[in-house]
Amino acid sequence: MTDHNFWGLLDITYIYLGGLGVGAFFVSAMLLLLGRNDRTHFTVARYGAFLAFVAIVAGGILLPFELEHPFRAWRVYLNFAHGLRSPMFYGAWFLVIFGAISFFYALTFMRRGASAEDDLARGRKVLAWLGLAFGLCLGLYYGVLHASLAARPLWHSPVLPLMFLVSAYMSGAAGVLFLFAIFHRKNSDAEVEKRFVRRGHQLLAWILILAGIQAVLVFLYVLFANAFGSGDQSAAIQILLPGGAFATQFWLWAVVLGILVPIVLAASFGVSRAERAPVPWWVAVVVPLCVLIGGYVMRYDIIIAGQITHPMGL
Amino acid sequence: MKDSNSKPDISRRAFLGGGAAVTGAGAAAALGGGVANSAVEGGAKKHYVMVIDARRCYGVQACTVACKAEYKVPLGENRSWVEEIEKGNYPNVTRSFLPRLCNHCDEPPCVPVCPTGATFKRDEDGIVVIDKDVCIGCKSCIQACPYDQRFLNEDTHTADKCDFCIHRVSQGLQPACVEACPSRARIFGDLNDPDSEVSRLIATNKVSVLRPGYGTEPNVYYIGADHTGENDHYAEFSYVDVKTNRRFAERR
Amino acid sequence: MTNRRDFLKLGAIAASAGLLGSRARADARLQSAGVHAGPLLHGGKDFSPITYEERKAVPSACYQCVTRCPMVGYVENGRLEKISPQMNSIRTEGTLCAKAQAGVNHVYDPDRILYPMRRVGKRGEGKWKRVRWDEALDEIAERLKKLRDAGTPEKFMFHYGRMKSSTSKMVKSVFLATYGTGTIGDHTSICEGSKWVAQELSWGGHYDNWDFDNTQFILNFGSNVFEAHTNHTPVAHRLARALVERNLRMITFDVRLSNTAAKSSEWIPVKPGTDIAVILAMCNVIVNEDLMPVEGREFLRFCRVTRDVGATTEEKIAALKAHLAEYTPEWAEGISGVPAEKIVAIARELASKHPAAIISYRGPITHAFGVEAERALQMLAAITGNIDNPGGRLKAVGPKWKYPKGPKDKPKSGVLEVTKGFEGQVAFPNHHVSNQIFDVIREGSFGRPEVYMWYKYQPVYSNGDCKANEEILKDESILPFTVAVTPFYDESAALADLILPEATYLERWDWEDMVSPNQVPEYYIRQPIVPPMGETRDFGDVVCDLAERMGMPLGFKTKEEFVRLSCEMTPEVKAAGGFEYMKTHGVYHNPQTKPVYYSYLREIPESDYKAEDVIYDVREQLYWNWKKSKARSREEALEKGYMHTKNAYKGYVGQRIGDKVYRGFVPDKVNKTGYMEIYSELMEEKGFKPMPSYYPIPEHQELGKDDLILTTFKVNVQSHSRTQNCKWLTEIYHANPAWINPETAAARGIANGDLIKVKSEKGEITTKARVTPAVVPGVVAISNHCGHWKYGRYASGSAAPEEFRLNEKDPDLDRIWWSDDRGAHPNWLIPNKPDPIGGEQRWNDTVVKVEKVAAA
Repeated sequence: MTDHNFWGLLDITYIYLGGLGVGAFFVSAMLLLLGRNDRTHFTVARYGAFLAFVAIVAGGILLPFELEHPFRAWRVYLNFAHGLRSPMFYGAWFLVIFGAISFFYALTFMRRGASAEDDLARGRKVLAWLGLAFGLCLGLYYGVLHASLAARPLWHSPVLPLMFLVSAYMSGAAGVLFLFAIFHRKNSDAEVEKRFVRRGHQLLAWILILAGIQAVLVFLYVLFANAFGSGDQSAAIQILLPGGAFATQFWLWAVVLGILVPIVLAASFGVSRAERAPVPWWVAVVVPLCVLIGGYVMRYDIIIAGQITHPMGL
Repeated sequence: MKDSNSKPDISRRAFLGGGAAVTGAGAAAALGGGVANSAVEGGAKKHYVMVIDARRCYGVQACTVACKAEYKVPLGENRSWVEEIEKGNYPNVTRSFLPRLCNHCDEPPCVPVCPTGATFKRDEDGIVVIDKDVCIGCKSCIQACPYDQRFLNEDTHTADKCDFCIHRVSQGLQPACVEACPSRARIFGDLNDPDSEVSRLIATNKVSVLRPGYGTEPNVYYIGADHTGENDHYAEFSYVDVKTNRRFAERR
Repeated sequence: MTNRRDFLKLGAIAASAGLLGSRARADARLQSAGVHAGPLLHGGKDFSPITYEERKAVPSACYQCVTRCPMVGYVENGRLEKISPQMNSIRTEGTLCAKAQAGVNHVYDPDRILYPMRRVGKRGEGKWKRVRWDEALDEIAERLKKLRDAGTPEKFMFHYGRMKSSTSKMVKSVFLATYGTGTIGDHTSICEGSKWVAQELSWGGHYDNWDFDNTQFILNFGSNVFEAHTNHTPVAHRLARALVERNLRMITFDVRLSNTAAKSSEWIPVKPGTDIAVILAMCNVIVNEDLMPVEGREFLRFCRVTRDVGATTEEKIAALKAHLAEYTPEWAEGISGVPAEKIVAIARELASKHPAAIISYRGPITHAFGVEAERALQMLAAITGNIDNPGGRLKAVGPKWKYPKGPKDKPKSGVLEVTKGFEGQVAFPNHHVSNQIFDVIREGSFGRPEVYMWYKYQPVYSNGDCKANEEILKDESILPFTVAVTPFYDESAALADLILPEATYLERWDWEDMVSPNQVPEYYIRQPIVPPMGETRDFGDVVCDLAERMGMPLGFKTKEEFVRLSCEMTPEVKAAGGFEYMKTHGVYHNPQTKPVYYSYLREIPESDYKAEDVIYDVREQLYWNWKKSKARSREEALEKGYMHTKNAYKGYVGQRIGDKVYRGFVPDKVNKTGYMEIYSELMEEKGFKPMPSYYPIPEHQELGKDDLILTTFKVNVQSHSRTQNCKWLTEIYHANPAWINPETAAARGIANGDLIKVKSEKGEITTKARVTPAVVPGVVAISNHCGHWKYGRYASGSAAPEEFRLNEKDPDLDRIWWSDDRGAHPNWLIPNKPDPIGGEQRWNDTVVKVEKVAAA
């Protein structure tokens, strides 16, 4: 069923990694910008900065392999004459710019003794703002690339870019929480450790909020296609609805595992116990895994199913 | 359905515009629209269109093979083909034929998505072409075509599709499929010339285009075409079978 | 609003500033391709899509099917790139079908064989060694000489599938005749033999042509002219034009909704083999309701409707009424399933619209007593005055080539009577009983050939009962030495002892002579578009070579020479410029020639029928030249009479009707009168009813609850057995699911796409079900193109032996996407049973059972 998809696993993985990068940067930048100049914010922001850079580079490496003529890719960047209506033209530029920002941003965390108050603090914050902006563009681009195509009714939805963006942010938060759970060693200073515990809860809370938004977006996505979309769109969405070829996958993996389970776990172990105990280690691992897997499946299902479904009639 | 050569007045859905604007391409949208109409506005000499008289087509696939032979299109793909639509309840069953090719739209959705400008609509005759030396093979245009006309050519590793046989048309010959059609179901010519056969046919027949709801403004017009899709259900019969003889038969 | 030009300007400026990649690096041809000012031509030239350079045009003729359309091959760098219509042909009017254009695939089929192959292992084992042509031909010549020297040249049997025009004349009339064997088989009875026999019994020789350009109404019984026909595209494109431009009504009776039925105004489903009941009932309605149009009444003058050739029109009508009385529409409904009121309505419509083209093909013919269906149709056309008139059913005309006849002294040919079926099996084996040849040879009472050579023929695949065919061809005790002449390694060639690699039809010479749909003959030739590949040779050249080796030179050394001589010998062609003209133009017709209609009305001058050796047969009231028959003397001829003198028809001169002698309907193959014979004394003598009559198909009379009738059919992009190696065609049509009506399918629990088993007395095949209302209930319809097990990788997945094949690098071989479903060949199920009158293989009579194997 998937052997005639022009955009396949490679593209899905690239989009996924790109989203993860954007999301990780978002989390990192938010921690940096919102947090008081506190060591715990900075430490967690560093996880995000590194993850963002690694993810965006990994995705960027995949990108040329998706092109049939990778050595002609330079043409995209110089195509100001004809590219201004092409989402991919913007996407290509966003990727390069965002990639550069995340590189320099990650660099600022790499110095020995880097801290929230060091001499790069100002530059780091500028980069954070810039990265937020271009990350938003890139994050939206992944959805817009698909949503702008009327010929693919399953993609052709104004909700899709938002879904991809929120999923990207969720993945970022999940990725950072995961790294936090793996790499964080208990701090000897109880006061500091308490603040670290709070960072854990903070990330879980973000996941909770984003997952809540995402649940609403999924609902809107289906609603839009069914109720407000064209006949083509309501016909296409059937592939994701009960009885459709992708229904089980989509609802079980992308929605239940990727959104609902994180909501339940985050709500039970995050918010309710915020002041009492650290996030249990298994929750800090399981929730991110659910989010990461669910996000991948969501993209996979929509991108593949979107190429299998097509306009009705002629 | 069109009754004359006036363009169908179909505006795009509002939210599509919204979707496009999110790309930050709002600026581009303001500048855009010129591509499609430039063939006329730019004082082009020709406005090539094809009229397909489906009443004449007897499904013999001469055009399909002529096109394969013309371009040595790799197995598994076609630049042009003929679909068969069979429907009805025994013994009232009909089968009709629908030749397919690129519509060379006035609003080609494949052109703006191209990140390199490899695909463009020629000013001088309205033919939508692909520059194989520029295409990077990103497949955006393939996804953008609501008629499933574009494919990835395994030999050139670029997007490919019907180009109205530009090497023939520019040198004074009809497209290969037009020459090949034994029942003259395919008629090709210049819509700017009011005396051309295509102008006359469009003026005097009830013509239709494919998927007019997509606002693509196709330049392939059909006379007597059956627009039934595989998933169309009619009250009076339950059987509809659409055969395309293409590798991926479900795509249209 | 900024338009594209501004963008381009912007781009140019930016590029000059070194910022942008401009279009300068782009495909220059796309940029420079201008706009052609004048009108666009429909052909006559061709350009490469890569270089835009003009290609070399070579006019030639197609041979994908018997229609043999004139065409033009386009060559670039010595390679045949494309086949296009011949715009100057009056037959095709510049059209071709899909098959014709895919002919390119034959030349570059990676599995075509290029060298003579000699079997080394057991027969059919697939072990071969390469031999030189010299060795191969010496061996054949030696064997043939031995047979000839022993006085048994007839033990060399030559069996061809499709051999026409110059190749036929060279091989059959010259080479084989000079050698002295008359053991020559053809394949007409697996094609349309009974149709020709019926025509020979009614109006003389075939073909029938249908004048769609001038007709007002078309009544079709089982012809699929839009998909397959002996004169396919030349006729089909005229039909399409008539239907659309003149809005004609066309009614098609068929077991299945063919594309022809689909394009008709009405499809009327009919049970297999029962068209004849409908036809007879229509005759009944027209005669009994006195609807015969005046043209029909007048035409009756030229019809024989009673034993007495001199009957009046009233007597003839009375005879028709008497004969047709039992064939009422209600009776026909009971047999055919066509509602009586429908039959009446169509009969009335037919009678009211003149001229009407009444057409038929394999639908009604390929059954037991298929001859009668075609004879009944001739009757229907006759009584409505639609015979040989503008707009009607015509006696087709083709060009009359003259050609060198070879050595003057030819021996009297010996014959092994293996081609006409078993004794008494077929009344009129005029076109042989080729489907029975293997059975007769195996049985052995007419002797067995010692050398069996076949040419452009696929005995194993093309006949019914493939299993038996394979067994017999494999059996060295039945056929001790076999030679296949073919460009391809097919199912039959794989069982040969020696394979002579033939050049494809795109690499060889011929003059061609297929009939014209517009009744004006067209001369055309086939010439090599590219030279023969590898060591392949035109079989015409091979027989010249073989004849030299046997010390019997034919008077020409190559087919090219034969064609050249023929061009110079044929007055019309010579006048046009002869061979050189034909090589340059490919086609020629005399612009002065008027379409030929009413050929029977030509009066015979007294000088002709009073000529020496011409005698008058009082009983049949016709003149004939006894010397052209096998009569030994004038006296014997007079005593035996025209009817009973062997080959008397060859001396036919004219038919006396009233006080004039007319050319009439010239007999061919049988001694019929010069009348259009509705009443056939010949039939009567063979124990059949003289007038076209209904005979039930025995196997269909008591069908069991589970029994279905198997119908086979052809599609538009394949010929029966020879086109499946063409990748562009096989890509379009490679699987042949069994059509089955929803009602019939439901009774067996079969859903669309299910795997089913079809069983007959001869075997079983497994295929997919295509559940569709486009077929009559109680029938399973399977096209006869698929399920090859040899014939190259495109057709079957099975490659020709590597060291013999072309082995051209063809990336498409890796792109074959239909390997998982190549369909099934229905001939495994169908016994080789002939129509007892005409010998036609009864393709569409087989009773089968169908069961579900697995769900889709």
